[in-house]
Amino acid sequence: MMWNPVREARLLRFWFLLAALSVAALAASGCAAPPTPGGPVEVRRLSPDQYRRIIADVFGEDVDIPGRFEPGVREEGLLAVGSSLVTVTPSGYEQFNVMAQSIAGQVVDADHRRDLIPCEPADPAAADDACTRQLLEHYGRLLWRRPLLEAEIEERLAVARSAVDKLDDFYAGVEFSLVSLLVSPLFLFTHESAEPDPERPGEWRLDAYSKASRLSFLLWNTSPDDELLAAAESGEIHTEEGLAHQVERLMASPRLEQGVRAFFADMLELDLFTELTKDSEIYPEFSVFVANDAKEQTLRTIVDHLVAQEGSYLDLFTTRKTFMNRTLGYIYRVPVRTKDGWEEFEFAPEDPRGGLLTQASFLSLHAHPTRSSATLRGKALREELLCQVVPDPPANVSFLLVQDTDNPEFKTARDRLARHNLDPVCAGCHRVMDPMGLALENFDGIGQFRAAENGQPIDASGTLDGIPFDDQVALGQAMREHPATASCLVERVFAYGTGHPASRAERDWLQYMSERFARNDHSFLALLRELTRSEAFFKVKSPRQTGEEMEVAQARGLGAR
Amino acid sequence: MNEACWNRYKLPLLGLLLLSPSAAYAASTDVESQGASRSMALTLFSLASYPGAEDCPEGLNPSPTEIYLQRYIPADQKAFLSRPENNRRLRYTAAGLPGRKNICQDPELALELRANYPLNHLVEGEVAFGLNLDGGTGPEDVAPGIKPHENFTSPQGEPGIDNETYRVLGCASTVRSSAPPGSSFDEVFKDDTREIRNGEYSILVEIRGIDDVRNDERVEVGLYSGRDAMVQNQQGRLIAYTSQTIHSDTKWHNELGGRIVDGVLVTEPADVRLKWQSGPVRGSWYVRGARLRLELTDDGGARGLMGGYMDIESFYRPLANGYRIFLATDGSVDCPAWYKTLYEYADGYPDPQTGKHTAISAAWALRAVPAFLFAPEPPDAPASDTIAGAGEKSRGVAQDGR
Repeated sequence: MMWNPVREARLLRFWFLLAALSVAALAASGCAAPPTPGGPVEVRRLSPDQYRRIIADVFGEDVDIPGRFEPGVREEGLLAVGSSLVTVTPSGYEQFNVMAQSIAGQVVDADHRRDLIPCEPADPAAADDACTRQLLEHYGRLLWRRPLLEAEIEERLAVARSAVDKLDDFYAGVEFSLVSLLVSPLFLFTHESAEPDPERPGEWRLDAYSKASRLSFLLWNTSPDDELLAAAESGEIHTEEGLAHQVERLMASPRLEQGVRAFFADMLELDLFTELTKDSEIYPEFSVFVANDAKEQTLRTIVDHLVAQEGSYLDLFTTRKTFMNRTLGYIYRVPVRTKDGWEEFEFAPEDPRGGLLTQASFLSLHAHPTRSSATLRGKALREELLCQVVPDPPANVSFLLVQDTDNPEFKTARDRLARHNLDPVCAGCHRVMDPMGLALENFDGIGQFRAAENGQPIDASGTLDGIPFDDQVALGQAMREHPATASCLVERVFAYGTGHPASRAERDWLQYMSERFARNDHSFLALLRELTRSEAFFKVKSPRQTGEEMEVAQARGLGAR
Repeated sequence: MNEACWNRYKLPLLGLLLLSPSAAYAASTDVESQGASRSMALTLFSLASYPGAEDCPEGLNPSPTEIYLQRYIPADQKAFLSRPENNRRLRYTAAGLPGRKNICQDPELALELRANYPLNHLVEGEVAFGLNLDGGTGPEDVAPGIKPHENFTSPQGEPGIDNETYRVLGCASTVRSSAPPGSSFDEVFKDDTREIRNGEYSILVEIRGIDDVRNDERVEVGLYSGRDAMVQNQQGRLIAYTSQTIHSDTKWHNELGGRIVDGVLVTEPADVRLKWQSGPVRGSWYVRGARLRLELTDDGGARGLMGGYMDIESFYRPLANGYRIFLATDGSVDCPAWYKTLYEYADGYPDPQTGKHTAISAAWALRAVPAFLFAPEPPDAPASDTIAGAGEKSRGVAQDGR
């Protein structure tokens, strides 16, 4: 066959076009998020912080909240996930009732009613349905995170009338109706609802109000504000532009800081500070003030670095910049000019501190009352920051040697653990925990630096899954390089925001988000933005309700559960 | 700048940095080292009272109410005191003076009204904490202007110790140490000073220009009143490494010259004023010719003595004006006796007109912990911006902040 240049050129153009189209298709498929089946529709109990924040947002900062909150349950590393597993015990409900009565009483008292009750009754000794309705519609919407149904309003009008009949006081009626809002599970729990997705027949999505709640609790750690509820009411939140607008609005607000603080306080288990104790003879400098300030230092560092500076999440493990006050100054043994309050602080290049792992909060929280603990610190690093699971120790293990800090033969924690780990039953788990914790042994049980233990210099070298380090700062660098560090954050944010850990079917999507996170230089703000604008964040699984249950739910305008 | 970009340019950037003028300046100041500095805050500042076994053979000084009871109501004192109205009357009778005056604020009047007012019981032991202020070791072996007086011997056997304040006040219940006889310095002064612990005043020390912490021919010492309260730990002891701000009033800034010999700081005499506050007392420690002898400890702190001539009026008047009649009634202080005895045994700084000695040799026990010191704000004082880190640093910070 004779060589035909024209035909050859056409063939070349064809193959070139085919190759280009193939590459484009491949690229497009790589950029597109993998589909997810969605997660369960959640019912989650408000955290104490969320409860306080909502009351402050709705009724003002000066409304006091007495009483105690029941403890949360940490599940899959997060109280936020555990919140979907807890209920309210009878004694817990009593406390919520105490709080509700106090809050409602303050709302209607002479000091507050001028600002919080805009309408006046025709007769202050008689019921006034119109005014009460106005209040119920306004506060009910904010507290229950959706408009009240007519039946729900009527129920509370009846409560108000009954109270007025007995007490001859309009404001007493308002007070009781407000109490009924505040003690309702519809306030104490976020109740998500799903509805058929009109754009994807056969699939379900969170309804608009549930979407607004999920967004608001992630970004602001509080109920949706009026504008976000309006976006839900109009359906704007279901549009890409509408959702993007709300996300940008929430992220531009100074209130983003409270959402970021709440997330990291949960991820880093900073709530454990409430039960942290230290032996006052061994650590006389440690006090509740030191504990509170250590926690605050870490949260300030995180917020400043990730939000104000829009820095990389990975740099949190190496940054020398933090905040200091005079209480922490004597723990860290650094000068602090500001007498009251905080100042920016940067550790010198030769200082052994850098990154979250060398801050007093991490070091004191993961240590014993009387000594440091390489094992607890290593375990926390694995579980909190790398999302890895370390099994509990067997029941019959003796820790006597490890606890014997005055042992003349095994002077350092490294020596004691090396001896302890001769037992093969112990070695397996300790091998994955201790190397990182031993790098932090230069910091005692409250985070103060020491060069030696019992006169023996401390060896801070080790490896983290094959990444070597020779001191604490290098450990931070190893954390920076570890592939699980970034992916763990993605996993945690997703679980925190949705209330459930990612299922196996959602893993591909998490991997995709981790790659996006890396491409965005590990910007936490970019991660939040992409997550909250993603379909997967609001995707829910098909409900297992019967047709009759769905009809009832739809009649109530609540969608499906 | 992303990581790839940084890797490409970091070596050239580092090279530029090394060659920069600032780097050259830093290198030159390394060569012209100004010496290290040690900055500290006192946890102990107390009149040094030695617990000698035979110091007070006549017992502790009786209080004015005790004197009154013994003199006027010798019989059945218990029955007399059991009636509450008698207690109140007794207190004011023992300590009150005509014209609504009292024996503490008007000791001169009390001394006028009662001739031959007895002196305090004097310490009769021979050992006391203190320093040799006048260079002499015998009663007449004194420097010009110093009144001849008996000397003590230090617990370590050093002769010529000048501490007439201890002689005068050492048998007063409010001054006498409760430590067992023969106790060491650390045992006698094991507690932090109450007023410093309570945040009523603070004293800061900075030693500058230390080239050798064991032996250094010349160092500068700043002794300042502080503005901030010290911090207690859970055991009630004062914490090291706190950040302290120097008082903005320069009258509380004292600069001394000194040297370090075998790890002990010794300073030259200088007049020192330090703020003093104790309950209602607002005054100052005004010490003429004060000098320090402090052992510099390995933990960055110090312990030792300050000796000097305590101005009597600066000591007595704030006490009397602060506590007023209660100094005598509740404090068991025989104020006129104190006043008279202090002047009787005053041995320093005679008034040029009257020749009456106005100051009395004294010693204070000091203990200091490492601290970070900051110049006062606004920075109108001569001290440097950041005085020094606690303990020692490799380079000092000069007065102009460089």
